[in-house]
Amino acid sequence: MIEPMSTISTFSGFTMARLGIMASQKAMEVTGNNISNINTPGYTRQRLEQKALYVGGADRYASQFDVRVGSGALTTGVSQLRDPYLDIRYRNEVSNVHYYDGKLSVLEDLALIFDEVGKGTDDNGVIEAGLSDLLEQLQNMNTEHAGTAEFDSAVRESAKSLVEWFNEYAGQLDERLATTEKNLQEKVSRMNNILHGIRELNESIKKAEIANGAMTEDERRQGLIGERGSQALELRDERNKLIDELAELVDIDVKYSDEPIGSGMYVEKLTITLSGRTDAVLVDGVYGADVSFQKVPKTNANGDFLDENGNIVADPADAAYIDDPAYKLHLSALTDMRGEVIGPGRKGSTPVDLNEMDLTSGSIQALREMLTRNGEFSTQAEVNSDPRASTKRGIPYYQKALDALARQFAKVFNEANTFDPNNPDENWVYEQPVTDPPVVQDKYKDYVAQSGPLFSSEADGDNPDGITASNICISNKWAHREVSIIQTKKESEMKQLDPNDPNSQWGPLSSANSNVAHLITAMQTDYDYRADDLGDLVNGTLFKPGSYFKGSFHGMLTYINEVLAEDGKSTLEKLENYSAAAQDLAVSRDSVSGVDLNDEAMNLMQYQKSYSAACRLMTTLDELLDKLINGTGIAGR
Amino acid sequence: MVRRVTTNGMMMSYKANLMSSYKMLGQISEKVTTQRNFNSYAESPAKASQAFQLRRERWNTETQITNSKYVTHKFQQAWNCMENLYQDLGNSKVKYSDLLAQNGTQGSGRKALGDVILGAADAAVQTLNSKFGERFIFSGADGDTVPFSWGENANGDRILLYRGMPVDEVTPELEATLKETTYVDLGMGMAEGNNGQLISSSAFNTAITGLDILGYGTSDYTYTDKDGNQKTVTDVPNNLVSVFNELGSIWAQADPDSGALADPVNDPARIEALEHKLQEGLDQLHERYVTLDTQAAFVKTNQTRLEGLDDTLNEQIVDMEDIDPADAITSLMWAQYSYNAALRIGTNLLSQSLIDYMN
Repeated sequence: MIEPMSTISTFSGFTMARLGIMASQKAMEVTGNNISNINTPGYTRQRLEQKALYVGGADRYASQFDVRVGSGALTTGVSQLRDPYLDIRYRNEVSNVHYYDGKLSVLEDLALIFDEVGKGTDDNGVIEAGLSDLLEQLQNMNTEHAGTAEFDSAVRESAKSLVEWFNEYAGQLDERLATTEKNLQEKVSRMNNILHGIRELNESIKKAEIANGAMTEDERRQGLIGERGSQALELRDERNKLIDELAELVDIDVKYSDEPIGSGMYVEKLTITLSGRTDAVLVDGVYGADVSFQKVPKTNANGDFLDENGNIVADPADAAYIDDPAYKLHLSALTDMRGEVIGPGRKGSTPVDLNEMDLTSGSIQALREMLTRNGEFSTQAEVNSDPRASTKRGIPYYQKALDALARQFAKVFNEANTFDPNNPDENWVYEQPVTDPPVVQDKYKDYVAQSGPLFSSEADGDNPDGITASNICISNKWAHREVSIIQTKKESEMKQLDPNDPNSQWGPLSSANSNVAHLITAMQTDYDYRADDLGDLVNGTLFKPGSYFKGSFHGMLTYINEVLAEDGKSTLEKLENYSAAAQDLAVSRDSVSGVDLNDEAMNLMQYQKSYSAACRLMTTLDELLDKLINGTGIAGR
Repeated sequence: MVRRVTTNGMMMSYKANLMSSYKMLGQISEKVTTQRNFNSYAESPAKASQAFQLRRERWNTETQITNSKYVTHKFQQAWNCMENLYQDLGNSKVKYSDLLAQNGTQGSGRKALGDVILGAADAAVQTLNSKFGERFIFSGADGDTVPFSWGENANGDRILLYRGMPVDEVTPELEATLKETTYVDLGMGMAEGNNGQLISSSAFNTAITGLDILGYGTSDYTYTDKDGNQKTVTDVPNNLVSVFNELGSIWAQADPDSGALADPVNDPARIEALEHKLQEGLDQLHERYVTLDTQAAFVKTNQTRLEGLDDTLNEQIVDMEDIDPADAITSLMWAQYSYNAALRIGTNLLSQSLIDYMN
């Protein structure tokens, strides 16, 4: 029996060599690309996909006894090395990092305003020193100088400096609020740019895939990767960079799925949703959302709807619409680059209004919280939408805390300097029984005219109501010396000013100082600071109207600073933790997808060698065939 | 699988660590340049709060020391006046003159001595009308009103007035002046009670009422004369200067030649009563100025205590806020060294790769 033998093709070796050379050359190109892009941000290292070429199947001359040899290398494409799981983890961490970073930067801004450590003459602080100086002036007045105009002036000037500092701090807080709001708007605008960018990249990638790398469902199911047109790799890198940036702003879920493009072919589709809410779609393939602030109907303090002119209307649909003061976001229906809305029935076809806590991390949520959270001054409605609202303190909290201090301060001084008709110890100046409004007895008219509020909420007036840190000022009458600090509120310390004239006015004993002594103790007494003291500054019912702090004026200032410092410290610690984790993940990501020079150098050497080897094969084959063609069968020629 | 370490990965880690080393260096440098242990509330909230608390106390203590000095000087002044009243006027002039008038001198001498006593009464009023600063010392809580002045009674006799009220007539307004107070904070924990009134033991009352020192109103005096008869003299003034005034008037009205008393029936008894009151008054004056002296001594001791407290507070503030230079500089050197070491590694880290060794 004759043993079958396999046939050979004469020129198939050349193909093999040629394929080998091409593969090595291509691989060198890829290596070169990697090396050049080592510093390109977001670049993922690329790798040439090679497959051994095996010409199979039945052919005319095939024999079942043929020894099959592969026919060379095929370059099937260039792929990226990337671990999607690391991406997910990285983006989660980065979201948290930027949440705490956003929060910390606002807290640091606030500390610049409130922190008095190392500030002021002799490091005695600013408002701290102002309060101590006022106390000193009162002490000077109290010790043998009560009732003297020049000492009253000294106290007034000290008080004026102090309230000007309150105004200054309040002004700076307002400014911070405005700047932070602008910052938030810029971030939302950036978010829109990113979403548009991702949407456009998705479109480009889809086109590239269709042109070069669409696969059948089977191929997809086999999990084949790398069957991509190479321009899509760079686009994917760009897209990943944008997604990373988006993750800094809001917490997202990224999903890759298959989209049929007809004829049983599929391309990859990217979908991005908010991780807190699956119906909030940001990007779906070539469709993207537009983000803006919600519009809410304008209301007054009682909850009635107002139209543009400020008139009350019953139907909310008739009301004027303003940007939501809570800065909640609104996602539009998804549209593509040309403005066409995504098909009905698909998620994202209708606009979505986000709730208060749908964003769980990211710098946008951090800024939102710092712009709206009232801490201990939270209303019931705020706590209903965020159960932890009463422990979160944003700029509005600090504004209110400062207002609370200013208001308590003014209240104590104003009450000390006015005769309360309802207080039996003080209403002896009025005609008895005390009427409403009370009538001052004739003999005390001049003295009572000297009494009155020392601090006012109106620069040109004497209104003691509605005082805040930004509007507190010396009352008009005190500034013009019509009112001064009254020396006493005790009837026993009064005398007739002209003993020879029975109709003359009564006034205090000239050295009487019991009211000034009272002011001195008042500056060192502990007061109950209650959230409902600021009831007029809050929109709605307070969650906890009771007392949140008990202390003196100095104590309250320290309390505000302590709260701010503790907040800052804990935020910094969390930030550092998350940053360390994010850093680790970034390095891990880089270890998978980053370019390493040593790696590429090895590849260079390897591909150079394989190139040389393929060339040598070519040369050898050439010689072989030359022998065969030119050197065989020439005997006897 | 062994984790792959890439060039960029190393750089990222290195950068992060270098940054934190640099940040540490920055923080310690700040401490050394500002000489403070902490430069913000956030660095040490507890210490910052305490430091401000200490500063507040120190400021207030220094004010209390100023108050104390003022009060000490006022009381010093008051004490000098009272001493002058007691020694020069009370004993030397009045008592002595009276003794002389009683026993030694006859005739015109008596009138002269009477005038001396009256003069002493005037001088007493002037002394008691001394001011400290802008205000009268002995005027209680009415420092702008002159404490003592002379008026006339229905008979045209000269009488002493306290803030315009006759000292010999007891009226509710007169008695009210004895309860006047002016409280000053001398670091005794000035506070108000639950009723909103100042707790009197927590502050120092600086009001000095001349009326209380000299006495007021009148009383009766019963004695046995040298004949053994019981005699009662009514309406004898309790006020020391009123006593000077009346005593002096009686002697001054004596006949300039014979020295006979103007009213030989009643005057001797009157004189007897007045002399008794004089001694009583001087004793009371003495007791009052010893009390004043005790109070002044308290103020002085209290001031020493406040000054000690001020020093302690200063020390505590420095301890809390200021750096220990040796500690801080050592830390700074170490931070600089660490940072330099980190920098040095950097150059090695980033230099070599396989590519450098390929030919």
